[in-house]
Amino acid sequence: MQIGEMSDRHGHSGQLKPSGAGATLASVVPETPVFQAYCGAEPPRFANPAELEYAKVLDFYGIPWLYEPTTFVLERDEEGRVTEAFSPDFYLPDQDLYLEVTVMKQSLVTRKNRKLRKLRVLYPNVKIKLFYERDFERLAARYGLRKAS
Amino acid sequence: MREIGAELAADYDGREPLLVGSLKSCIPFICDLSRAVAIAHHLDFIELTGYGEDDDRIRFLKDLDVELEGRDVVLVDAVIDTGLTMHYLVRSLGLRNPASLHIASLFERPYRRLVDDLPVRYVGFTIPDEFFVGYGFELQERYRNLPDLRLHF
Repeated sequence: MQIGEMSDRHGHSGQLKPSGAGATLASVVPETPVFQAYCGAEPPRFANPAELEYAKVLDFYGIPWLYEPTTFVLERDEEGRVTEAFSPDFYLPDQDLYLEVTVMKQSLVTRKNRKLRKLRVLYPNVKIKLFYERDFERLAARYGLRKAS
Repeated sequence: MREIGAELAADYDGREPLLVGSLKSCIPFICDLSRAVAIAHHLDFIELTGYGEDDDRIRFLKDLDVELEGRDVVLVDAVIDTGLTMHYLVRSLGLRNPASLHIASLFERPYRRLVDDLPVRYVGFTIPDEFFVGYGFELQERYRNLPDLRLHF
């Protein structure tokens, strides 16, 4: 077997289409599907359409999930007040795994990566994975998902 | 392929394992793998709905033709990525009381795995985080027929 290279001549790689004329997804009121594998008590309020899509993927495969159930304190000031914290987007209780979804460009995720490194130092037993924009675009290319531009 | 086939044949010698392919991307791999397994074995196939199609929940589009009770089953797929599909299959088929249930995958991306408790026993290669087509891998049903694996931009 060889591994070669191939360009997309058909123009269908990861095209992300707006949901309607003149609308961007960021301006569309998020849909509120009935989730089957969601384990939380209150309906989740997603920060962006990518989080919603990840939730739908988890739900589709029947993977139990929670939305932002835990806030990890990363830094306190001298009076003990929290000055920096991090709430990963998803928690998969069966896997004991946190997921953080970011749709920022790869070059702009430095701050989030720094938070993640900090979390890993302070909470070495916490398992967490970060999903970048390119991961979302892979999903989008495969499943025809949409996101805010 | 020869290495996986030889390993599988040694592990299941005298047990006539059932290789279960998950359609459709597995087709070239399971055909080549079957030819490389030099012991008696059986083949069957399942097909699942994919995310983004009409269903809101994964389900079987095509179920197995045989019973799994007491059988040694090897699930065969082309790649394990997040592991979500395999997780569903292992849960579903595990309920049918096979004697054993393991996974053979040509490729894997362990760094993208969301589920860790998969019985993965045979893996060909760990591949980089790139999009591939060919050798069963498709993009909107194109390119499956390419004989080689190709990097897609």
